[in-house]
Amino acid sequence: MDGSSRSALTGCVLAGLLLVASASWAQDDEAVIGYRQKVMESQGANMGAIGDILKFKLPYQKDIAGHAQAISINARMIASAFEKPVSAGKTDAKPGIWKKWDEYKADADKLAEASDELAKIAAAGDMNAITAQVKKVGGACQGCHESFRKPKEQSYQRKQ
Amino acid sequence: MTPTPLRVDPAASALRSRRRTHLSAMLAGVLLVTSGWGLAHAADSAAIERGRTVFHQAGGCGCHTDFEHGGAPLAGGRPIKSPFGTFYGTNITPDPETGIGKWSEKNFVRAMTQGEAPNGSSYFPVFPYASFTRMNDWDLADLWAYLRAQQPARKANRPHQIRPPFGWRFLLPVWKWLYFEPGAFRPDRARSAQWNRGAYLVNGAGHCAECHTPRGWLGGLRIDMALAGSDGGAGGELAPNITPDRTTGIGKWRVQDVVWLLQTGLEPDGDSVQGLMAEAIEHGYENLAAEDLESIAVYLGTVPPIRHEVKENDREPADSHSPRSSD
Repeated sequence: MDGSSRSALTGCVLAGLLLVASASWAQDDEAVIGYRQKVMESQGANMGAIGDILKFKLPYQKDIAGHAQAISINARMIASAFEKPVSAGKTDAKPGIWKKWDEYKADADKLAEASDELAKIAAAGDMNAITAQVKKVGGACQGCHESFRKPKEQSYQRKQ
Repeated sequence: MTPTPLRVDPAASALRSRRRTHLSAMLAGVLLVTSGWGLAHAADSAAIERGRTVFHQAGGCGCHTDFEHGGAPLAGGRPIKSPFGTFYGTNITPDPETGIGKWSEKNFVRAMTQGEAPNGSSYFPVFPYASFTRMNDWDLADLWAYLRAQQPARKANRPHQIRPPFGWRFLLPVWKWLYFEPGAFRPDRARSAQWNRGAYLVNGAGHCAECHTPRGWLGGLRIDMALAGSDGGAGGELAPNITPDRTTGIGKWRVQDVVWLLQTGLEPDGDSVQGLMAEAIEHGYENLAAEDLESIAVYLGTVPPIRHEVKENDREPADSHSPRSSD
């Protein structure tokens, strides 16, 4: 094997390695997006569950505190879930998350605080106070979505 | 086609209104004798309180407040983007120079129900008089009392920036001739009181259609697509389909789901509403009595279901770089 074919071979191998690396990166990105969406969907599911208990007057009022705690625990995972800047692909995350990371993180903290408070208030059992605090938790969702998530009608789900 | 609602006999309505006036005059007389001049003030504050409710029915008139820049309430200056250019909400505080402090109640009612300024010129339909014209006289009177009682704020109106020919105000009477149908809400006697209450709130003060019904190229609401969602809602927002279509609308929602959304801004799946709707709930709808919200839900459940998926219409938010999938 002469020098030039050797270097060509090395080039090919390197290019191949790069290709594999970038493919696995891309795969990682997809997995990251999928994971983030699950974290967020579970927030929605817990908010929806609290809503069902209150609006349909279901006999699970004692569990509102548990749902609130779940939201709080999840909220503390939001920041780490979004640490890696992935905004391309089937995601509704806006790149602003990583441009204004501190603001984003503060929004996640606000959600954790509001849901901690809801857990406390829910334990006391005053329905009006609970509903008022649910609104505050919803407000924390809304405020962050307003800044950092694409509108629902532009959702990745509609593009599939 | 839904059955054509019966028009309320205007003479009968006037008669009722005269009766109300007589009754309140008699009551006022009795009360004045018993408790003196303080009564006039009490009557005023009752009207103001009722007016606050009407204000909430209208979603809190947030287009007239520049929340983003910390503007004084109702003092205007808020930009409202539209396909025709940018409108700026006007000052509706009682400031005599820059607001509506010099208006009479008649001026106000004419603006709300005819879309006409005190000087006779027409308003752009971004001011939803096509809906407000459905409001009852007494609700308009109460809303006027409420607005009169607000803090005056001195802030000159900012001229709209509208592309020609849409910005030519003298063409507005033509637009009105084409699209504007003045007249108070006509109850449908064949329907329940609850349904009629919901229809009144949705089509009148609530002005739901102004964002949720798509518009034609001249900015007229497409009645054939009533409440089926629009990609050109106020502020350039996407407004979802709120007809009872089961796949693209809210046909799977229950009455409590609609009430809960209007009380908390939370959808059945636990997600939060965004943009102008979040504002209209916070400053308006969430304060309404549960019965009124139920009426709205019941009425919305009976409008013709329309299959229509609101899409982004090839627009991307400015700071989004996410590529579109290749389907």
